[in-house]
Amino acid sequence: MPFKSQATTVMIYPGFTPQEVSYINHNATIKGFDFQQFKALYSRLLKDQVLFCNAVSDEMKIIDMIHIRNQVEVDFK
Amino acid sequence: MSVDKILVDALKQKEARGNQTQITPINNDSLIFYNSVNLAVEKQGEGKSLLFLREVLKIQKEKNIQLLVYVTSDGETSDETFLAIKNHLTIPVLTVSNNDVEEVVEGLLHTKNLYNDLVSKRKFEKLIPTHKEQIKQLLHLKEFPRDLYNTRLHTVLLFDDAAFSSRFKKDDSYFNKLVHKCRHANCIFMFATQ
Repeated sequence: MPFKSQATTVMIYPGFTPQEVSYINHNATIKGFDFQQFKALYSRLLKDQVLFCNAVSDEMKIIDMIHIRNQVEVDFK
Repeated sequence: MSVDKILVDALKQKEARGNQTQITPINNDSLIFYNSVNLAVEKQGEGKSLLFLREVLKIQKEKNIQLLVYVTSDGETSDETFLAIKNHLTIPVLTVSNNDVEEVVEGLLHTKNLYNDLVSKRKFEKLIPTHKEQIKQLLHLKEFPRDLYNTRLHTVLLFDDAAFSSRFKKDDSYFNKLVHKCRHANCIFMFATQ
């Protein structure tokens, strides 16, 4: 993360350590959401899933991109 | 005109400006809002630009989404995900390098401010065709919006690899300041970073 910004939305991929997730959260300065819930959801992320968080709408959810990868792989076979 | 009528008109204008600068949903499909700052953070090679391009595809049908400024390290579109999706982008795309982006965006937003000013003061229609054409070219518009007076132009700025951009290193840099006032510039920032 090269900068500090008050982000509206953050999409974070799996693979970061809890310390890195805290660092990203700190630098993105997303406000108005439950960071414990954020961390709990993040720990459940699988490959090709993204944790999405919107500070304005208070929406927090896992975005699943697996169907795109699966479809691409099916079409290439 | 009575004082109260002047007040009502002034407050109505303020209200209208407020609506145009708020962080609000673009449509039901997209995760991205108007006048927003959006981050996608990943370890290398996970496809963060795919997520943002997916959102661009969802919002490009909106008549007030003016332009995608796609910022890469060298100004080239070598990203394979972008190249694969490029043909499906219907909004104008301006690809610029990290080195040139400040000058380009400054010029673009200056022209957009001028355009907004002319429209809000009802002076745009009085421009001669040559000047209208120049503004259209500078804003990279295919056409001016049909509903000129109720359409505020929004610019999407996608930084493909913001982690290595020197544009954000200083707190008082142009883009760090612009990020904080993106609502007023009607910009939607998308930062793909690591």
